[in-house]
Amino acid sequence: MKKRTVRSVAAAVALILAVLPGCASNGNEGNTNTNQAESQKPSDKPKTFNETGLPIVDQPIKLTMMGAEDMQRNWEDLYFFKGMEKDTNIQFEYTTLPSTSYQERKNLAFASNELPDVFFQGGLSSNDEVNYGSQGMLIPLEQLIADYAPTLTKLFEDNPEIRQSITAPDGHIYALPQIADHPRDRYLRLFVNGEWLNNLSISKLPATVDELYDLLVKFRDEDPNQKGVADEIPLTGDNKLHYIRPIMLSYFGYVSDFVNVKDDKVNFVPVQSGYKDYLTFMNKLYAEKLLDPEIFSQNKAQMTAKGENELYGVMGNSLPIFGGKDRQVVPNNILDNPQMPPLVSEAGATPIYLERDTIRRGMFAITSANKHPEATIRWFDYLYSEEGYLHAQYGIEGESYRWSDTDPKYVEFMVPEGMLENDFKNMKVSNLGYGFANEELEKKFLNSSWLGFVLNDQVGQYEDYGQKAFPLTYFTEDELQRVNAITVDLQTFIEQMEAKIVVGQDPVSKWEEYVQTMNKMGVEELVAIYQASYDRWKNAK
Amino acid sequence: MIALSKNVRKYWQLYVFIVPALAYFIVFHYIPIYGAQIAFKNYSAVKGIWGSAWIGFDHFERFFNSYYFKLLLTNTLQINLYQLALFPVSIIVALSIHEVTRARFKRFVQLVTYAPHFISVVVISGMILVFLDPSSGIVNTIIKALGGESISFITEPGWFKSIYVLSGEWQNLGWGAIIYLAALAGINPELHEAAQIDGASRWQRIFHINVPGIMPTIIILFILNLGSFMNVGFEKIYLLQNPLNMESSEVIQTHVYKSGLLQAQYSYTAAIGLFNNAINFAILLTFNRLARRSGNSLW
Repeated sequence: MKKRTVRSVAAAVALILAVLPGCASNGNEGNTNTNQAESQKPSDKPKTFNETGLPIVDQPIKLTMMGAEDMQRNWEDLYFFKGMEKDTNIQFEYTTLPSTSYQERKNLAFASNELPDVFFQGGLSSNDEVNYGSQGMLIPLEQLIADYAPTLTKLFEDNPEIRQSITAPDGHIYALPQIADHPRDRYLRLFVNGEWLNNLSISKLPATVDELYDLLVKFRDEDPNQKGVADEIPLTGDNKLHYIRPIMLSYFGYVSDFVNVKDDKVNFVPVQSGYKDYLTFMNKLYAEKLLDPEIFSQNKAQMTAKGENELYGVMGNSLPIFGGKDRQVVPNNILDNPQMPPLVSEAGATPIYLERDTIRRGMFAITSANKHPEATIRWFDYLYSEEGYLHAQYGIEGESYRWSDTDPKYVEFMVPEGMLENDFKNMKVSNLGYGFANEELEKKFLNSSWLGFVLNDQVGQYEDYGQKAFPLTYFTEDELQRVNAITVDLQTFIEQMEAKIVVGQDPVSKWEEYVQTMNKMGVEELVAIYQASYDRWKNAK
Repeated sequence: MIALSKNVRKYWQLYVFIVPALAYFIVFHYIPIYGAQIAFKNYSAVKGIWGSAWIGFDHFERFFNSYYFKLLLTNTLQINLYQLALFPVSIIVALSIHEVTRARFKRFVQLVTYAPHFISVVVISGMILVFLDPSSGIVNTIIKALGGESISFITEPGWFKSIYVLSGEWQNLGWGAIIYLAALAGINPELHEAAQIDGASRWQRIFHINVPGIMPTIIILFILNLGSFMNVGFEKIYLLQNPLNMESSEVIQTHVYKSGLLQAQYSYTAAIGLFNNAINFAILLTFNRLARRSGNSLW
C-alpha cells in the first residue's frame, strides 16, 4: 500500500516536470514577441506618410481600435469610418463592447498590457490617464499635436480652457476630449407632462419647492391621465436617484452630490446641512407616494414601460416618456412637455442649476502599441475639422447624405425606403461622436427646425443660473491612491444612507449619525486632496 | 525510480489518460498561483507581476480597516451558513425519488427538479425580479388576493438572503440529487430483500440501509461544499442588488468585483481574494481531519 502511494506520487511529479518546460518555453516565446514589438516601436513614420494634406498615408495602414459601442455594434459598416478611411487611407480593426461591460474590458486591456493602437470613445477616466500615462501605456500627445495637428492647435489657442482641462499633473496630454459645446448638453432636465397640465388646467409651472410639492399632489389626486383609477406616479427618474439627485440638490443650494467649490473652497456636500433638507424633502415625497415607489429597484425597461402606460407626471430623463411611441415623436415630445425651471427653497434661496462640462475627457488616445503615432494624430486632427465633423455626423456625401435644393442649403440623410431617419443615423452613419461641434458649426449644415436647436432654445432658462460643480482637474498618483481607497466605500455608504432615509427605513434624524460615520471614513482627507488639486488647477490658469 | 519507469512502460495507456486532466490543473490552477503575489505588491502592468514593487501587507490592512469589512464578512458567512443548513434537502429529495416505484413518474419528477439547473443565472435573476415585483409580480398579486399587504421583497434587506438562498436551492435541488441517486442505485438489493424478510418497515430500510449506504458520498460532498464555503455566486447577488438591500447583499465577491474589475485596483482585490481562499483552505483542512475519523476523508 505504502509503496503504491510513493509510486503514484513519483509518477505525478514526473508528469509535472514533463509538462512544465512546455509551458515555460511558451511563456518565453510570448515575452520575446513583445520585446520585438517594443524594439520595433520607434520605427517612426511609414515611408508614405504625408506631413500635411490628404491622404495622410499614400499606402493604406491598418491600426487596431477599441471603444465603447453606442447603438451600432459593427463599426466597420459605419459611413463615418468609411468616409474617414477614404480621405485618410487609415484603416482600423475594431474591438467594440457594449458600454455596460466596456469598463471591465478596458481595465483588463491595460492590466494585461494587450493594448489596441487607439482608443476611440475610450471612456478613459482621469485616473486612467494619470495612471497609464505615467506608466507609458498611453503616449504623451502635446508634441505630436504641436508638430502635426493644426486644427487642434488652433482649437487650444481659441479655448485655453481645453488645454488646461486635459493636461495631467506631469504636464503631458494623454487623451483628447470631445468638445460638445451645446447648451442642450449642459443641463439635466426634469420634464413635466404637458397633457396632464392641460387636463388639470394648470398654466403656471412651480417656482419653489413647495409649489413643486403641490403640483405633484395634484398629479396624484386629480386623475390627470383620466383613466379613472389613481395609478399616477407623479415623479420618477432614470437610474435610481442618479438623474434627479443633482437636480433636486440644486433646489437646496448644491450643484453636486459629492464635492463642490464655493469661493475657491471645496465642500463635501453630503455632510452639509442643505443635504438634510434634500433628504427630508425626498422622504416626504416617497412617504406620500409622490415619488416612484420602485425607483430604487427598477431598470430602464421597466421605467419606459410605465412611461408608455402614461403613469408619469414629472420625469428626469434625457427625453420624456409620457405615453406610447406617438407621444415620443421629436420635436413635439420636447415642445409639448415643458421643463422644470430652477426652483428655490429655504436652504437654497437663490436659484442655481448644475451646469455640466462640455469638455468630455478621455475620448481618444494613442497607446504605446501604436507604430504610427504621427499618422494617428493627424487622423484625430482631421476628426476635429469640419470635414471630420461631417463624416462623424453625416457620413459620405452622395452615399449617406446630400445637400438639399432649398435656400439656404442644409444636409439631409439619404434614408433608404422603410427605414426611420434616426435608425439610419444611429445604425448606419454613426452616433459615436465627433471631435468638436458647437451651434455655429451645426448651423452651417443643419435645418433650423432641427431638434438640437429646439433643445438649445429650451434650456435658455437655465443659462443664467448655471454653476459648475468642480472643474476638470487631475490627481497625482499618490493622491489617486488615497482618493480611490476612500471613495469606493464612501460612495456606497452615501447611496445606501440616502436610499434608507428616503424610503423611511431610517428616520431623517439619523443623518447626523451618518455624518459622523462619513467623517470617520475620511471625508476630511478627501476634501484636502480635492482642494490641493483645485488649487493646482486654479494656479495653472 | 526504475520500478516506476517499468510501471510506466507497462501501463503507459493509463498514464496517457491522466495527462490531459493533470495538464489542465497545472496550467489553469497551479501556474496562476504565482500571480497571487500581487496581493503584496503594487501591481503595474508595465512592470509586470515580477517587476512590481513589494509593499508588504498594506492591502490586507486596508481591507481589515475598511468600513465595510465587518459587513462583508457577516453577510458572506450568513449566506453560506444558510446554504449549508439546506444541505440535507437534496439528500431527502434523492431518498424520496428513490422510493418511487413507477418508472415514468420517477423520471418525470427527476426531470422537473433538475431542469431549472440549466437556466442561466441572468434569466433566473430576471425572473425573480419580475415574480417579486411589488405592483405587478405574481407573488404579490397572490398575497393581495388573499387579503395581505404587498411586500417589497427586493428592497427589504430582511428578505434578501432568503430570496437568494431559496431560489438557488430551487434551481439546484434536482441536480444535487443526481449524485445521491447514483449512490443509492449502487446499494446491494440483497440487503433490502433480507431486511424485508426480517420484517423491516420502509422507514427502517431507509434509515438503516439507504442512509448508511450513501453516507460516504454525503461526507465527501459535504467536505467539497465546505471547500468553497466563503465563495458566494457573485453574478446572482450582483444582479439582485440595489442600494436598499445592500446591507444584507454586499458580500466579499461583489466588493471584489466593484473595486477590482471596475476600479482596476487589482492588488487590493487580489489581497481580498487571497484572504478569502486562506479561510476556505483552513476550513477544508479542519473538516477533512474530522472526517478522517469516520474513514471517509478526501485524502
